[in-house]
Amino acid sequence: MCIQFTLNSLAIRFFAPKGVDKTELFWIYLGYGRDTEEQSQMRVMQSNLTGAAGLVSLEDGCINEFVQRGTRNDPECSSFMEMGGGSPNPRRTLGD
Amino acid sequence: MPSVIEKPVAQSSDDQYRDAAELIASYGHAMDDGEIDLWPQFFMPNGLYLITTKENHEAGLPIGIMRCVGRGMMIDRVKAFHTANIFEPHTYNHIIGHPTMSYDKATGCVTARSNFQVARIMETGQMDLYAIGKYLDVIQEEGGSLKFKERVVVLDSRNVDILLVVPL
Repeated sequence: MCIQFTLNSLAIRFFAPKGVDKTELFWIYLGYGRDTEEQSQMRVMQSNLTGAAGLVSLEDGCINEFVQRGTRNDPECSSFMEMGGGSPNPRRTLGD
Repeated sequence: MPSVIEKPVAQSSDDQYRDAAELIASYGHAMDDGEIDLWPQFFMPNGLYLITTKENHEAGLPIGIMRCVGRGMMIDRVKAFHTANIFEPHTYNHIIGHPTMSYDKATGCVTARSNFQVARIMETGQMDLYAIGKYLDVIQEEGGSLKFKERVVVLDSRNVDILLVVPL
């Protein structure tokens, strides 16, 4: 489960396994009881950015599909992905 | 632009129905031919395009899968499609059923409902049934041609495979 808070929109995503080679992603968008009509409309519009086919988030389904395709080839093996932290990583900054 | 949009404005409701049916068919053909750049022009400048699910639509929930209010947001979608979005290349094939329509003289709008099935074809040639649902349209004349004032795409198939990047 993933709690998503982007801009002013609160959403919950469920990543539900449907078998060894299938998952389903559910998107639930929440409004607030105290929202004015205008605030509700703003949250609805923001869903076009961060929703199931949002301009920012629509690749999420595609990326999961790519990962799943990669992992199903070697069901007996394990692997991990290292995301930095293994060696010094000098980075240029504005001060350089 | 599809030729239908350049035809003279219809006078009778029969003409309106014929032209509205032509608009619905032309839209499907344009999407199937990969003419996504034409997509915003099928709508009124302040037109609404919404893809939602049957469950959300019937429950009156406003958030669906894709929402564009006005041509500007549609043009943004087209630009994102060309320059920002990551996806596997694919095409659609729409099968659209005969629409049922009504004409409101007061507003000059045609309200139409048509069922559709969309197959998605990947570069490998693999074909899958991708979406099934109905188009709920409000169609209005603008500058001598008919356009969608509203196109609400209600999916019976709630479960969208992988992602939805090309408008249905």
